[in-house]
Amino acid sequence: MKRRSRAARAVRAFQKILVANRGEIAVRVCRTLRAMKIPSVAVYSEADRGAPHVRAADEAVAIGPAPPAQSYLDMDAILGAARRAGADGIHPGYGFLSENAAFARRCSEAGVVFIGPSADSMAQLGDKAAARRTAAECRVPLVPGAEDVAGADRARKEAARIGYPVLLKAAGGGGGRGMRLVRDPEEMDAAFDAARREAGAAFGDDRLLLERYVHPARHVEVQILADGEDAIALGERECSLQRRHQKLIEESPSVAIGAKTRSAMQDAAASLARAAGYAGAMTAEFLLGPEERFYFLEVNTRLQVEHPVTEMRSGVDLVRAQIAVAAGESAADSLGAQAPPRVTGHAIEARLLAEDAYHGYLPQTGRILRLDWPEGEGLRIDAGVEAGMTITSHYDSLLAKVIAFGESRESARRRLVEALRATVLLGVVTNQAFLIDLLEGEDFRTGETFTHTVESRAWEGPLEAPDLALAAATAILDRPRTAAGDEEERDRYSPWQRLGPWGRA
Amino acid sequence: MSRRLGLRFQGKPVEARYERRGTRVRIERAHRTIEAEVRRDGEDVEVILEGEGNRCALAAGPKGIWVAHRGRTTFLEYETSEGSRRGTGQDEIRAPMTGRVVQVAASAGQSVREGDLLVTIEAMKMEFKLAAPEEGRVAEVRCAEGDRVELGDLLVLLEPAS
Repeated sequence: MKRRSRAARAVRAFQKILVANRGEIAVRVCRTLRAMKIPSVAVYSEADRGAPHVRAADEAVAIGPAPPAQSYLDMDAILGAARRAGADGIHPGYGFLSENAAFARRCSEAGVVFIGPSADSMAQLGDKAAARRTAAECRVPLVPGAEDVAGADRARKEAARIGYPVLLKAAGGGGGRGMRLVRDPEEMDAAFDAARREAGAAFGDDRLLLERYVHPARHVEVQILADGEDAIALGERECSLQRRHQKLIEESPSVAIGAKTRSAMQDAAASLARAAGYAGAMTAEFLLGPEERFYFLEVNTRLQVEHPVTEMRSGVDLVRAQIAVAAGESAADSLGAQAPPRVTGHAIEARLLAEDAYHGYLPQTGRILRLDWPEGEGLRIDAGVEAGMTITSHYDSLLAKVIAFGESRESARRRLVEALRATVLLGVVTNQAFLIDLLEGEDFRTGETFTHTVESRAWEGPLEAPDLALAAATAILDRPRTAAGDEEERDRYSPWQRLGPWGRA
Repeated sequence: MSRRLGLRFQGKPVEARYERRGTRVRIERAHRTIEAEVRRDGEDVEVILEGEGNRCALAAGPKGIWVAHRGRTTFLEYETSEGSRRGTGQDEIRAPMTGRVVQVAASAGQSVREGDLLVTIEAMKMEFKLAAPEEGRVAEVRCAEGDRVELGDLLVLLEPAS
């Protein structure tokens, strides 16, 4: 799927690129750097010593203790690592410092290219309040709301004007962090405090804004690649299946929009990029209400988690394009031979998370005992974990993304379900079965997917241990064990005793 | 001779005994008996149940056994394992996950109603609120803001209203 013909000048522009991230995205960025023959530098916290992303890079620099504030969010540590390694570019991935304008500014002061937009266009589009102003100037439709709400009392006044229910959102970053639904004035105080604390912890910026809650709504976003003047739209992604405002399943195209809406949405997204003189990869997110009416939601001034969906349909390597644009190429050139590229077929991504979807989506930790990924045509796995690795509570719960492509939505869906069934991850509870439930469910099959779909019903796993699991477990239980119930005479001559590595670690 | 399975599922003991002869396994559960053929095959195990063959992935962890079949994974905890027990006693509020305490709303001696916030824990950048399961009084608070807590740690002791 990857294009091979690239202008050589972009490849030569960077001597070495530091990847200021961890997990699957750091592994994925390193893969492109390797393909481009640009030496890569990983950074890692004490908890990530020996993690897959460390080995995916050509060299690695330790940047501090496990808590993100002292490592992956520590600008001094990361810039110091870039200086020591001699990197002249930094790819921030998503999350962490990827949407931090101060970091982008500090990179350029240090003479290192931040592979992303300029600090100015980041401030103009990444800050939600500023982005709304830009959207208004571009005549992109907006959900009624209020900017920079100073306190819970002020929020209540604005909410009364806009009409409940309302959403409180972080002004300084995306991903659902610092977001709260408020149904009535009584809920405001607690929601405001929680949103502010979460926003402050996630982005180092605790300003909040307020919006009317559009319902029922879908989440549809447009991928843009821009070079400061030109902006090219690479199709949309629908990401309506979410829990706690975090995406679970993403697909392209959206089944909910026709050619006219698609084109209007792409024009709106491109106009935002042009208005901000944006250079790099960007995503404009929209709420799609009834009758294909869409409203501007926010701009993500970085690579998205779900970018492979677009890559699978377009054949574009978005990381390569980001690097080419950062090296001064035009957006059209960065896409290679044909721009805009032909976007075909259907792609669906599922996020494999360390969380118990059947019990309140509680985060799960533990050591991965066994991990097998499926392989097959039209299948892509972006993973940041491996067998033997310990999943800690310091970082987010995304373990891997499983992405399937097909000529039709149904063939992509079947492929993805089959891939999830063939995946084996033992040792940590994941949402694997839940993802299968979602993809096999009536709502997804018929395309009736809304942002409230996942949370509007209770999802249950098996209420008792399945017979099959108990029968399989007896294969291990036969090993000699002590202090396990009423131990009786051992089956000394059973072949089970002599076989296998089933020791308790 | 059958023996107890000695496993827990979702925090509750699995009431079952099992007996194996060669590859034949017979499991007596509370309301039914299961007959299966169980054969090891490399890292996997082949289980023939009701005439159907099922390939399961299997691994033994420090706290229990993991079995996966067609994308669905079951964790069967050893009964002898401590620690990862979920908050079972109604008066014990335990950490539902490993993480950090970001807010302690409860104080010792305080009266609480059902649903009142006691403690907020953050893990993987998300917040989780632990609320009082019933009306009562806070007997003891065993955590403080900023504490790192492990799954199953006791955070708050409640005395139910009499």
